[in-house]
Amino acid sequence: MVRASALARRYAEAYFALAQDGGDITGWRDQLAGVVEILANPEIGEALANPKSSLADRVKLGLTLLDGASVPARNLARLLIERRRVGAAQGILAYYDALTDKASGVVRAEVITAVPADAALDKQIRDSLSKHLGSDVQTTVRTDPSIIGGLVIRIGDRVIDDSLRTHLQQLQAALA
Amino acid sequence: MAIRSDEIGEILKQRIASFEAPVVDANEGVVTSVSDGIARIYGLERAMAGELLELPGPGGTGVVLALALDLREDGVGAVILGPYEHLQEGDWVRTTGRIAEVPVGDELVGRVVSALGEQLDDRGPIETAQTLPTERVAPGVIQRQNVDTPMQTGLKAIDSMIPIGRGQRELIIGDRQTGKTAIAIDAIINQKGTGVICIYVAIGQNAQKVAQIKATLETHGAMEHTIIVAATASDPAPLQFLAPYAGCAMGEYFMQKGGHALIIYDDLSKHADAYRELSLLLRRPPSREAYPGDVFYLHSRLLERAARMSDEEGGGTLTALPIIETKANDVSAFIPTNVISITDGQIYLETDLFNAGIRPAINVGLSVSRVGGDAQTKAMKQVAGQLRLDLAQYRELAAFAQFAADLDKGTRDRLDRGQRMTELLKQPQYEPMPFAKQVISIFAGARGYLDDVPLDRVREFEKSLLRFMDQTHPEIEEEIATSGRISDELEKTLRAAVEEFKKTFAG
Repeated sequence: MVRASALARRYAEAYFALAQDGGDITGWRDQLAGVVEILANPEIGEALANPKSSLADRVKLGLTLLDGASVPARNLARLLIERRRVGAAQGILAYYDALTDKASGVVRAEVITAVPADAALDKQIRDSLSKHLGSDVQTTVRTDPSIIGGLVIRIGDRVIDDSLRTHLQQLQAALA
Repeated sequence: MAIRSDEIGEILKQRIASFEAPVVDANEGVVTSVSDGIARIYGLERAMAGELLELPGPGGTGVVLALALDLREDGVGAVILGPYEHLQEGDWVRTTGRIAEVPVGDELVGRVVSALGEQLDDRGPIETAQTLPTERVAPGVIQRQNVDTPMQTGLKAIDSMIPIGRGQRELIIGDRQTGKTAIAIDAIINQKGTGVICIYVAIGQNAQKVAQIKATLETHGAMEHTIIVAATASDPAPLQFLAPYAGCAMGEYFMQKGGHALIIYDDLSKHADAYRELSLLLRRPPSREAYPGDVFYLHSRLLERAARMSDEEGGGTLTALPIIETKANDVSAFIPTNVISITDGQIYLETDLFNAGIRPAINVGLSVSRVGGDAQTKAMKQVAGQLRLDLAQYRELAAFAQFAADLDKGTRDRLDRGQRMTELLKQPQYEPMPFAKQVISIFAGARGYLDDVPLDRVREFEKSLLRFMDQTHPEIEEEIATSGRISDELEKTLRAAVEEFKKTFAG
């Protein structure tokens, strides 16, 4: 999980607002993803933060590397280099995705089951979650035998835990 | 008592039958850093201020609780209420939806518990029907009424001159080793049989001292109406921070029921230190003496919860005796001035007096009770007025008289009276005196019956007088206790009885 710091959120919100005005949220996302991929490369990140070369040189290096990206995406990269915030790039992308989901009413849920879930079960979970939360739920299903049985559903930082492992722990606590 | 194995089976069966496994629906975050008992957590966007959080317990079993104290945009700062050495970056943290709370109820009486209300003694788990949040808003103006019932400490010097009322907050302040705790313990012992539940909150003290206090209270049969809440020096700072609020919640339970409770915070200097530690680790800006900016509110919101409820609210009371330890008699340090200004008066103890053999070592001149006379029985008021005057004149003259070679008779008389009164107010530890006896004893002094008794025999006189009264005139004591005042007639009887005793004592 990439953590979006308070700082990354500010940049993401600004970029997202511009994308909304531009009317092409997915297009802007692709551009952003391209920029982030390059900036997140450790060697490039180091070079862009290296105080031995002058700021102007570093900006120039960054812009050369990003030749071909859209103007707003390049401007964002320039800002990040100038303000020495290249490290926040991945957080910006993560929060941009979160903002996209929020704007389109999509809720992403991670479902963890003990045994592999078939398509019917997946659909049943998705439908009941959509009904319960009142929005379009998209699920990714993961199998984790260590929960023994039942389900664990994660939506953002909310957890709905109906796993056998947790219930056994509750029983253990009640008998202690 | 032997436990049969089928009994255990039965209990387990019941527990399992009644066991409900609710689906956990919580906010989850991850630990990003742990240091010195503080965890920084990413996520938990819906955490509440003061909410209890769950973290994985040591060895992968159970949970450790933490208290969310710092809510920030990109995470939560929480103080861990237990062992934290096993926690790692990336560990899960869950909200519980509960604000920090402690079990309350009659089941706690006679027990030694931690700041979370868990048992620390050997008398089995504590199961109460009710819990109360540790942080609560104090009763408002409408819910309260005037403090007018005395809270007898059993100490002559206090009950006569610095009377404490039920629902009052009276600070006990002094250097180390001046007998601060001793006063509190005497007050607890004196509540025996009055229906007042006492709560002794030990904050940052050594466990040895807490064990000793427990033993003392047991010896005097006072543990039966007492709860000890202990957060000792080896407990983490968050528990020391929480302990007074936990104790207060336990006391509020009795107050709400319309009962009476007395709570002792021993001591709030260490409480402030624990809070300073937490605040600095949470990176809150330090202010004077490195205490955080809200250290005043820390104590004011705690002490404001002591109250006397109105009759519509049941008329219960919670009396608070906070203790503050000063350094080198400096009452103008930050925490002492704060607490002095919050409380309704202070009992000021001094090393010099203690070493001079005046015990309790109360400086009568600097000690006050702002509720005072309202909370004093009429009989005590009648005799104590003279006492206060005698002592005030004595103090004034005593300093002056040191330089004078020969004094006129009036001055000498006043000095003699003062010395005898001071002697009369001395009282050994763990011997609280019933109110009626105090009145008789102070009556004898204030009416001048001690003036011709040699100074070194004053205490012997007092002791014999009280024994004499018990044996030959028990009705006088009884009348004072029941009527609460000295009528003209009673005064005459009392004088006659004291005079009768003096004849036998002189020889």
